[in-house]
Amino acid sequence: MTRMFTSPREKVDSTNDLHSVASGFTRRNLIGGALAGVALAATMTSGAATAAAPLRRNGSSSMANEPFQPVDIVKIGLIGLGNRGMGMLGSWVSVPGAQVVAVCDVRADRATRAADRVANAGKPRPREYGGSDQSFQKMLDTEELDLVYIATPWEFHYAQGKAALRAGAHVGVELPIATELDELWDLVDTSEQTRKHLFLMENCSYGRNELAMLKMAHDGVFGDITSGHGGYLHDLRALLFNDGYYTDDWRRLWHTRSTASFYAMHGLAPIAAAMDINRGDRFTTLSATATAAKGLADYRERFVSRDHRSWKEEYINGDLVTCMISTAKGRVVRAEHNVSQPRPYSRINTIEGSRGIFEDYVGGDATGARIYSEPRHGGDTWRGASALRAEFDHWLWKDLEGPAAGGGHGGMDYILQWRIVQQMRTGQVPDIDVYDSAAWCAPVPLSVMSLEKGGRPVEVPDFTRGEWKKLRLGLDSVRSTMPAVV
Amino acid sequence: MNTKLIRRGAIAGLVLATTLALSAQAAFGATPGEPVPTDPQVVTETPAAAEDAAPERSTAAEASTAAEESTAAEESTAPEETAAAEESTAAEETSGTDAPEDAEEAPAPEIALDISEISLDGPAIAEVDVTVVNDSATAMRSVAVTFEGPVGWQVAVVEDDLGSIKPGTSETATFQVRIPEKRPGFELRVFTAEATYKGGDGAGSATSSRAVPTAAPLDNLATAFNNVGITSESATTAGAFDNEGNSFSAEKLAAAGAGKGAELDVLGATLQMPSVDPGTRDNVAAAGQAVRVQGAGERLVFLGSGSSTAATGTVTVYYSDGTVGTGSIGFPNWSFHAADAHGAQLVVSTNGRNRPSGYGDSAYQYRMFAHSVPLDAGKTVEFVVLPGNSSMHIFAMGIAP
Ligand SMILES: NC(=O)c1ccc[n+]([C@@H]2O[C@H](COP(=O)([O-])OP(=O)(O)OC[C@H]3O[C@@H](n4cnc5c(N)ncnc54)[C@H](O)[C@@H]3O)[C@@H](O)[C@H]2O)c1
Repeated sequence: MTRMFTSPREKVDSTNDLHSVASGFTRRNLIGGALAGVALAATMTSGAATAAAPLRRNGSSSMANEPFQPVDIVKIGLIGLGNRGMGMLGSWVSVPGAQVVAVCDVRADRATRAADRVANAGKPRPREYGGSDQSFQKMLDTEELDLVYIATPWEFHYAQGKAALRAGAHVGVELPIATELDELWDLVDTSEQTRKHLFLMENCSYGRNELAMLKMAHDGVFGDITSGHGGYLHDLRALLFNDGYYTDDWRRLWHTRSTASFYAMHGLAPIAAAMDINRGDRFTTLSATATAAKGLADYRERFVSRDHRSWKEEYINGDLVTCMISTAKGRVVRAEHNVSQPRPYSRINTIEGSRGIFEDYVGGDATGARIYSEPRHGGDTWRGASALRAEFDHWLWKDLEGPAAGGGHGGMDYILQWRIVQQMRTGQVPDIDVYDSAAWCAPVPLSVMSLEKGGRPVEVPDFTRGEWKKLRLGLDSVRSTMPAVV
Repeated sequence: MNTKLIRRGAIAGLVLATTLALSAQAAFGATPGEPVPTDPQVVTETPAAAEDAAPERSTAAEASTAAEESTAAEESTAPEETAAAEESTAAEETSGTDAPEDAEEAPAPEIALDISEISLDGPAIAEVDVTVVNDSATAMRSVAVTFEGPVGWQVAVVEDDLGSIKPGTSETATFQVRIPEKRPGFELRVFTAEATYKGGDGAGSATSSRAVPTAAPLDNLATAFNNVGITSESATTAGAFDNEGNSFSAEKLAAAGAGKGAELDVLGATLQMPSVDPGTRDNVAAAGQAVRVQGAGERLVFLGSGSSTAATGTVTVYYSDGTVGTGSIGFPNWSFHAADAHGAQLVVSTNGRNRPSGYGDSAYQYRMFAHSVPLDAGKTVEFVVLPGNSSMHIFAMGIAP
């Protein structure tokens, strides 16, 4: 795998699938929108109480280490069939034991197109739901689904994820699972109540470098881990101003509403895994900084015609939003988000400890990563990561390199989907659970809160309600196979 | 040679049992498909230690980590040597005496810690019990236990506050440890527990460690051969002594008395040149391999040569009584390097070498050397862990009586 900026396999969150804009619909107003000020004020008043976990709901208990109830065939319903939803469709169809039984998009033609694709692949035609922003609810009310996959704009994830849990399905949600603290808590609580898993579809947790980095960390290659650095640095300017790419301009509009680290999860999650966050350690405080917002306005000035609707917009999100996160074990994580300035792609993936360091996206060798680890190495000179990556290659990559090849984002999309289906079919504990998902997405609202306080640290809630102190396996899993489809 | 003091504690039977298991380990792993028995484990007990005593860490295991590469620059930092130095300090601190033999005869400590068996079959989360035994005449109070695995291994506390322990009784603390996937090769994973307390024997703290090998040592040096250092002048291409495919000439070695299987008297030991044909694996590029060497004597002698000027490292010797010693060895580069560099002694010198294109460089000397580590008198060696430095090539080893 080479890490080239131009490779579409390497850059997460972009596909070649372009769509035309259909008519709008009412957008729920979350952090931003016309009521941005109100939302911020509300967040702030509840901010002081963020650390204390709300009481667990009556009769519910932790979902940590809770295995899936095994099913022979995983019946899947998809909500949101834009760039990402359609991009993931192929593997939902091809992974052994997965069956797409229902597809939904507010734009009914997209549901039809998705159903056509499934049928053209020789599989039973899924039922279509579309035409309204409530079509997903109809799908959830009608279908018996094992898994719902949500790939709609960020503002809909929480409501759709919660509804899917309530409908009795497990839920995989694209990034982020929710954008407000109370929503994150509600998803945790609803998962615990319904006994269904809800998890972030964090494909980057399954990157080959990321998984090898995780296994090296667990083996002690870096000694005692003290710091990590990850993020999402992706020049999305052209896509953000590309008419029709993000339906209804949803992603650009977030930059008019809020100053927040919207989407650092792709780089944060692998660092959290290597530090065993929620599995022996936990995030405790977060403080944020934001630079001025220059990139999008500058791009528009140079490349967007004056009659374009974007000229009515004012971009307020800082180009580089940085979160410094402390952990209970005294580690420090730096999570960055920058999608609005010219720069080569990077998720950073850096982990450092008392015996060594790993850095990704630095061109070390064919892996794109470099490493230094005592006592293997000496002289304070970098080594390409190939040798150690091969030594610490995760079984998922050893076993699935073939089928994953050519899949989205260098194969990690396929591995994520395969693994979810496999875990559901074999009754395993999910690698990523609602607590991981909530912790990784919490920087979205917490960065807003910290910035409102001039960058002062705010407390990160313990979504596990104390379970973080126990070690759990997670992504560094035991090799297992996919059952044959009878 | 630095010998780490190991003392038999109150749970002496356990020490003996595990040492025996270690001796028997050649018996497993040979037959594919057979159930793999639990790992042999070494338990070491230290007497109630002074408060500032450093808990033992896995320095031996670290020193044995395979060296991925080796350059002069690397060796100048020689992390292994640091580890060895640390180890000797720790050993001195915990023993409080210079003579290990004396310590062997010291009475069993009154406060002992027993670490339960640990399987290295990862990835897994293992539960580990640490039992604190109070064999003193006084109650122990405020007993708190800490537990550590190899560096970087995550540990979580299940129960670490044991309160009071009456004389003649024991209490158990419990920890979780994340066991990573087992890697090929030999490593000794060391786990350490420490209890602090009031009352009891009055020492205030006691420590114990359990060393768990990841694999059985190889039966002999030949089993570990991984490099072709000698070729015939008529077929030189298999040579790989250095990175350019050069090798010793079998003919020239034979002429110098060091042909295939020849016996050489070196530093008081009789060492045998590899009994293999030229062009086949005949030496060990040292990478932390564990190799069985049985016997007792004055020193362990190595015949070898360097493919860099930094072919040095730490040898770790494991004795049958469960004790561990370390020593440093080094070989000069096979050519263009002082013959006594790193304290080595010249054994055989040949004119020229085999290059991929054929025999040549006849104006120059290509040499093998000897170096040794002292052994503890009266102790029987069980196995050794070679240095982690692939520019160190070892052709033979043996004990000088
Ligand atoms: N993990 C990754 O690598 C990755 C990559 C790309 C996108 N994403 C994420 O996927 C999500 C979607 O992004 P995208 O680029 O596909 O956006 P998109 O605009 O292309 O697609 C969103 C789709 O959701 C549909 N939709 C909107 N409201 C709906 C509703 N109420 N019910 C049903 N359908 C509705 C839209 O019609 C559209 O088809 C985002 O969260 C994004 O961040 C993740």
